[in-house]
Amino acid sequence: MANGVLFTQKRSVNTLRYSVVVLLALAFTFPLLYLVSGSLMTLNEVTVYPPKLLPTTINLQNYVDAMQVMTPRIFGNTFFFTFGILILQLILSFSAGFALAKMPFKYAATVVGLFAIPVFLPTNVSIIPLYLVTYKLHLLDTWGGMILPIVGSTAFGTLLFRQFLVNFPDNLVDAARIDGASWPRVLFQVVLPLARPPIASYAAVTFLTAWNMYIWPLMVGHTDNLKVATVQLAPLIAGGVGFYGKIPPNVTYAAALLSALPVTLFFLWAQRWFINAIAGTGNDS
Amino acid sequence: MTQVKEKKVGTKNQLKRNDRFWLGVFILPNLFMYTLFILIPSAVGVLLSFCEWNILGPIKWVGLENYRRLFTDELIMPAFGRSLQYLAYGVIPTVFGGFLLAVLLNWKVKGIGIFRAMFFLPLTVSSAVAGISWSSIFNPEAGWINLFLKKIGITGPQWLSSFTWALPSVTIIVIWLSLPLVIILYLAGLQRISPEIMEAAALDGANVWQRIWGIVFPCVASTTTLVVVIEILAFLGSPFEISLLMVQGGPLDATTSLAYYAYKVAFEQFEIGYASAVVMAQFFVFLGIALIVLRIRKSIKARG
Repeated sequence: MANGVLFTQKRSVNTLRYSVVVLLALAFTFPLLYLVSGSLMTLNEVTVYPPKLLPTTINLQNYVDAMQVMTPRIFGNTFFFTFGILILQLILSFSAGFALAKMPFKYAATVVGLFAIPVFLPTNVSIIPLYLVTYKLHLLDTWGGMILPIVGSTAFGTLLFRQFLVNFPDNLVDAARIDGASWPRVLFQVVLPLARPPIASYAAVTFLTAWNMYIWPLMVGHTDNLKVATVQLAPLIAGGVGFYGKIPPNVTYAAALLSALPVTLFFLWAQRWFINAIAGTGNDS
Repeated sequence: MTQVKEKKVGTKNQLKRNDRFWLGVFILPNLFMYTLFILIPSAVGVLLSFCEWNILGPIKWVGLENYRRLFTDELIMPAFGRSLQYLAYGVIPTVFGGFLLAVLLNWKVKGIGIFRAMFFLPLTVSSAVAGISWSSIFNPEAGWINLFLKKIGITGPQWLSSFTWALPSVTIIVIWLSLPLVIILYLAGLQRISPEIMEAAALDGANVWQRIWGIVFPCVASTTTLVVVIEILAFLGSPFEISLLMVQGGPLDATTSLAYYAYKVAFEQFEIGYASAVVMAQFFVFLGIALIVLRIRKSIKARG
């Protein structure tokens, strides 16, 4: 391993390096660690001056109270929003990626080029016209308006799947074709079972992005039955100076953690796929 | 083998009616959605920048009027300046900090997985959660930073409620949110360096610091270019969300970036045409900076 050579192998150096890693990791995650700690404090403990690092007793009541903010309905909405995007975009991207990789046609290169355009656009550049298009389609304040415009950003998935499938053995596809398998059969029974690594990578990235999306659901879904976790949480921040309105800080912390829990657990479980996706390998090795 | 090859050529020529039908089924729904929600909005954005429109009334073509207005708008230069400040304070620490952290974490030792995961955590956190957890850090009286500064005898600033410190505060949060991705990209880059190079580095007698910057850093130059471009995009875009969430662009517009300004013009003043011109201006700023970065990269490459 390259790293062993960069730093000397002396024990003292290693101990120092280890301490630096531990200290930096604790400092880096401090805002989140305090969130956990504060979410377990009583109202007195969390507002006392000077503030305390740790609660004296574990106070789980905050999480019960936080369920009034992060209601099952909000969770349901967030899951529906996230998986709606994930599944629809997966179907569109995977089938198009497959066609672009394995069904040679005249304009394939042009279509691939078309999908490369968003790489050059800063985030949020098209959010105003996107809103206008959604408005003209009468989709504001509907699930369609929440999900479909985001599903439209298929570029990342399509290029990811195309890249993987270009390197997919042609003879497997050809053999199935010679045996008389239809294209959908080739797609679902031959290619799909062997394409788990890029699908996992795609799913990991999309799940995280969609779950944490704020501006779009804020603009399109203000009614209660469309509200997702980020939109519900946002008003609790209130200026960042400690005014929490009716909801006390310890409950706010608990609500924030509840909203982050599914995605954090998922990330810790699917870390490898996520890292594969952004490290650009996309395959299992 | 040859037989398979032959058959492959066969399939290639065989994209007959049935095949074309399935090609359409596989590609067209995707292209339709992509066109409707990415390509058309982008084109509409460009067109609207030449128009005047308040959403309710008719759309009026005004030519270059919106672009002329960019130069006389008293609010846009400060917003532009603040976007540049976000870039200046944000991109460099994120890139170099991320690189150093990746070097530190690129180590096969017991428990390193846990610490790496800790550094990846902000990736999983939404801006809203980040906002809530950082309010407890930046609180002027009871916040952890000022408490710490007080211990070492410094009176900390008002952070997010201070006109001077609000923008750096937002930048710190965006750096924190951006570092995981940079660390992951650099870790991947470091894995690709061959052990021979590292061994040669160990032999030439330079100290660790010199070796990191003199030998390791040039080895991940392509990762650096990628990371710089990603982070320029991130610091043009993300401060908007954090600022909107935590201080609504304030205090006194102190954290209003170009992107946020465009949002305000569009959804508070309902001047869609002018807002589109602001967005276009931001796009050209990005393009300009990206070209400069690539130029620098090229000249460094040409020199050695």
